[in-house]
Amino acid sequence: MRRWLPALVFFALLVSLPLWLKDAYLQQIVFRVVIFAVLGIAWNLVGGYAGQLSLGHVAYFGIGAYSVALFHEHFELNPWLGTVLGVVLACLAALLIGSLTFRLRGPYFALSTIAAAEILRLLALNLSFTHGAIGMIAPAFFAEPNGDTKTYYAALPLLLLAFAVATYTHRSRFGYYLRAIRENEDTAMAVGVNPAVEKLKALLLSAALVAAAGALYAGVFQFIGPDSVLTVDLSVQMALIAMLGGVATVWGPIIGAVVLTVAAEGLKAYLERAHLFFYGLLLVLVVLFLPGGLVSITKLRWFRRSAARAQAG
Amino acid sequence: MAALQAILNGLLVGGIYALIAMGMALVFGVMRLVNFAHGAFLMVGMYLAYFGYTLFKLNPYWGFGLVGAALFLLGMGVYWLLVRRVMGQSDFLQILLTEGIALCLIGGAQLLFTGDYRSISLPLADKTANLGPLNFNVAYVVSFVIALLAVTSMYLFMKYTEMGRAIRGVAQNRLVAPLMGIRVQWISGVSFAFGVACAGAAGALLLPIFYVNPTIGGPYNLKSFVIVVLGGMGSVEGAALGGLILGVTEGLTAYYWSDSYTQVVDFVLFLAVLLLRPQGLLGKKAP
Amino acid sequence: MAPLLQLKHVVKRFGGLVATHDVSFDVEENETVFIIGPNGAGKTTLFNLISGYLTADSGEILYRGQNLVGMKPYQTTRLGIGRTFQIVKPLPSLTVRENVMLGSFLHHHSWPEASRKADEVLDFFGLARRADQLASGLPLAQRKLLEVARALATGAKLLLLDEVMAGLNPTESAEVVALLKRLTGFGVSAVAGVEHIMRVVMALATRVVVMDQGAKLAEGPPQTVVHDPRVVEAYLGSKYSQGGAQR
Repeated sequence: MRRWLPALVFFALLVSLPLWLKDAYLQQIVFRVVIFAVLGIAWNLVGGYAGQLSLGHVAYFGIGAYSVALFHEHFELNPWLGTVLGVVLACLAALLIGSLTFRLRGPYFALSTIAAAEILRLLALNLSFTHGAIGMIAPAFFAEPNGDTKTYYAALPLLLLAFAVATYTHRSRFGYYLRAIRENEDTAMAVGVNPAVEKLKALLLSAALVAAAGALYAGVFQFIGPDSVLTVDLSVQMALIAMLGGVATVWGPIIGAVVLTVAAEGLKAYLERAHLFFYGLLLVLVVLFLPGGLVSITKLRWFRRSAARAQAG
Repeated sequence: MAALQAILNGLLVGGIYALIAMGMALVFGVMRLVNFAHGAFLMVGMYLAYFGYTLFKLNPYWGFGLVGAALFLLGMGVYWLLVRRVMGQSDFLQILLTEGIALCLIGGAQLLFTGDYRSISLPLADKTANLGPLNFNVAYVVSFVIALLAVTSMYLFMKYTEMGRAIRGVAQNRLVAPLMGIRVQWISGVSFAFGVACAGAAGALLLPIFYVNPTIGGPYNLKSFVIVVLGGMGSVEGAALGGLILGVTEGLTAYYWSDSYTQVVDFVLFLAVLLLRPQGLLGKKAP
Repeated sequence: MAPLLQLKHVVKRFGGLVATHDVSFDVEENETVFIIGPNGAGKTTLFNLISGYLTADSGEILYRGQNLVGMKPYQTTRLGIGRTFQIVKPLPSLTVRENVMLGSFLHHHSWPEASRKADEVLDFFGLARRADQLASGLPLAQRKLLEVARALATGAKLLLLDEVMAGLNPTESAEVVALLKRLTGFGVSAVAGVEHIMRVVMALATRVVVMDQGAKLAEGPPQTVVHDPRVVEAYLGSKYSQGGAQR
């Protein structure tokens, strides 16, 4: 029971937030944290546990966002239905992209995922029914007043779902098999694992979560376009969130999302256009000095030494 | 006839592509590292050439060597401070590191220069020469010729100098090379710096015919990947060939279809090669 | 009773090189068969062919009557063929127990069940006290045992051991030999091994198959095979096969 305490506290905090956090600007930041946490957790399934560096995950985000907008504009479907369809489309895309790209290893795999996502972005940019560079307007999920607050509430079950998926994965046969695949596919096969199938399963789960997040994002920010929901930068951000917090951990992506979003907001006050440089710097520092992410700080030697010194002194 | 013109233009641009991609092929061949920051370094070279021209009236065609040298030093620095530390680690970390370096360069450029599009206009760039029914944009031709010279000298360097042999030695067999007295770390650093210098110098050659802004490297980054895979990972000659092929393919796409679809064709070609003939045209083994 | 494993005229080529040439032999239940031979004889290739990492160009490999040729490694594992590798690679980021659980998860889908089964196996191998340590911290001998333990945890009936003793000192290999002798207690029906260390082969084998340059040279009980002049010639050259007489 004690194991669930941090999660309970965390979610109690989140659920109660609209009651004590009234500032709309701050609410929006928390919404972004929630969305990015979902994205980070989802990416972590494929990138962290299975070790497949996908840099094309934004494809599923874009599919979710555009689905809501497209199905509303062309078929007058409400955004909830649009979200469901978006998730389905994203899963189909994942099946296609996964079966093609998972045949490749290392940098070839990463590059092919970028290529797949970029093809989608270029299609969105050039096809007429997506209105090209101008982008589209997505409908809101709830009518005013307080439409955004209500959408924020809608994001919470998604985070809860993502969290549940991550927790299940971490301690399940599925999760261990993914980790085996990450370390050594031959070893994985030796214990009876079919790497292709497990990787696809992870990708499907991942794509579904990412698409749902994209749909909600569209419902809040409402103006979407190829340069806001289909960029490589977003894919890298997802990877960064998971890396920063801790790959292959349950809380890592959540911590990463909090730290990254808060830090980016704080920086915006000082430097208008600095966030790209900031992400780059963070990525370099994490890779060089903290590849296990923030959750692994307690495992670092200097941390343990200074903690021991603090206790002794 | 207009198709022929498209092919010609494609060939000219392809020469520059070849130079860009050769840098990436060299780095991959020697270090087995895919440098995701390659395009960003090209962008840095372009900005250097831009300011060289606007501040010091240095014509990028003359200054291209200087830009290359400057980027060489930058590449050495980046290798020594950062890249060296992930050599021997997982692909995962290597890719994320070079991606991070790319973001730092692009973000830095955004901070320093804003996202504005800048270009220079050399008097040369407006001239067109005619050979029969075909038109040659002089700027394109000069860029092509210089690129060709650079590619050739690099080829000769690799083949006939001691350093070049050492580089090829490491590329062929990283484990055995030290036994031949080759300092692999040093060679890796030099190769990385060379690769970066190629990108930067190519940027200088692109400036007269194109514009620069912080994100300009992106498409060239991806084009380099396509070319290197097409030519065969690690094969420098393959990259040269691949560059020309891509240039012509893009030219024909732009002519028969539309300019905006050239990038889509790049990617489709990329995926097709990776899935159907992963060793590329001149490559040795499949990934 | 049909043999557990039957190789029938197995051929594997790599380009122009014939790695295994018309190899046939059986492994019966309750046997421990060791494949020996000079380097390059094709021994590990055979294991790769049986377990599915390579596909035979012709011939059959029957396990309980089912042809394994064309199967992938995870399929042969699921059928009951466990395999260890020459260069052991435990997953360094997981604990010893978790490494074995990777094997036990095959037939025990929940974490508690898989964990319990893993502990059983660890106990058998004397690794129980290291169960919560990271696998990366184990010395070589224990890592080798971990590799076997993991294969065992998959419920293997036929165990393929690829040069398990390589790199172990005599004390360590004696320990491992003692453990391997008790394998039948764990549901293992037969063991096939590739080995270079003759002391181990003599101690464990019920039958020996000798390979040289891709072909089967001889087979039979260990004592007989070791004295077969053809076998001596293959290892040491013709000078020694004539009983040491001067030529």
